[in-house]
Amino acid sequence: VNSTNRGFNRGLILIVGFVLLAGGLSSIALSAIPAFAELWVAQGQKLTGAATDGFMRISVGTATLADIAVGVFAVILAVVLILFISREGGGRTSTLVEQSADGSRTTRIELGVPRALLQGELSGRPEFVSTRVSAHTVSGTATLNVSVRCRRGIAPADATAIVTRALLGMDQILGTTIPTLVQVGGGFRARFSTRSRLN
Amino acid sequence: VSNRPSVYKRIQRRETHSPRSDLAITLAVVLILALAYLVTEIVLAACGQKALLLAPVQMVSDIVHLYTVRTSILELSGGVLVIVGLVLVVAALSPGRRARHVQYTERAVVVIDNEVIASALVRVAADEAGVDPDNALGAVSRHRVLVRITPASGVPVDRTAVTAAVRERLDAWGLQPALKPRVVIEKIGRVGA
Repeated sequence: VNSTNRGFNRGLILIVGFVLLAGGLSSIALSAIPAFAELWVAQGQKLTGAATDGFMRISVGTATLADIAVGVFAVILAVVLILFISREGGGRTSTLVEQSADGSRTTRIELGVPRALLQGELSGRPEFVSTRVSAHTVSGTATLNVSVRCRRGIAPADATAIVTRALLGMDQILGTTIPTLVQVGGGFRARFSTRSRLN
Repeated sequence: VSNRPSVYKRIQRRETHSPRSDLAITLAVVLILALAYLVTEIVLAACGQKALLLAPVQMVSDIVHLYTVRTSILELSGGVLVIVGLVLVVAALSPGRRARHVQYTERAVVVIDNEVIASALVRVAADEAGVDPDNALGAVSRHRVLVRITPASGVPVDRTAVTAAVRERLDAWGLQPALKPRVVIEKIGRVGA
């Protein structure tokens, strides 16, 4: 549950999709419909004419003013895209609880405590291959994320029960309840990791 | 769970649907590379240097006179662009459900991979049918579970009993969305199954 803006993700995919569609349809139409090709050339020449007319005739080297403008726009767009990529997968937090009782003292619970408590409880269980504990901020609330990988054939209800028991134990120690997501997965590693060792 | 419904709703939605991050990041990287190339050509032109591939003037004139390219090439590349574009539009608009089911407990929201549900149900069905778990196959989709059992030759398997066992277990787990079981007993058994 990271804070990736999924609307932006889908928006970018949609825009690129439409641009490719438009480009593809245009190039098919250019070869299939002569009238479209004529219109394309006429409009293209008008546009390039306008872009090199009047004061736009100023050029730097062999680049016209319009070229420079396109270049500046491209740089801005690239920066926006880099920012977009850097924003993916955020929202992790290390502080789960920060409460002040009377305004002068605050109680803080960092991720390390629940992680140690849950790992200590769950990592020894034979039902699980691995356990991971992390924390994210979801709509302003710090939430715990417990991810376990099950061995083959473990009933989901059993996995849930084991994790729930560990969570309730943790709640008692911490004296508070932190909203929690439990992920139960299986997969390649669970199937091929060694089940037991015989000596 | 009951005192933070909005947080849990959001978690459930985000965990059962794909963020489409891989695709979006890939597209962004490709776009950044293309833009970097374009800027390079423009800067080279502004400095009066020779172009790497195409000077900006040449690019514009090539686009305007695109129709002079051979018809077959134009149509083929156009077709490829249309297909890729359609795939992207579908990816952007489809829900992108992940192969997972949700279970609410008094303490947490639990998201379970379909794979885990399938392998647990295979064990349940195999126990009930009296075959080795290796001779039972399970597949879980959004609303359905399909369990295929290969019986041992000459030993009949009671399909109704196996279905009932699977259904009973599913009811106890209370997964969302609910799953409907279907059990298939293979016609041809296997010796030693």
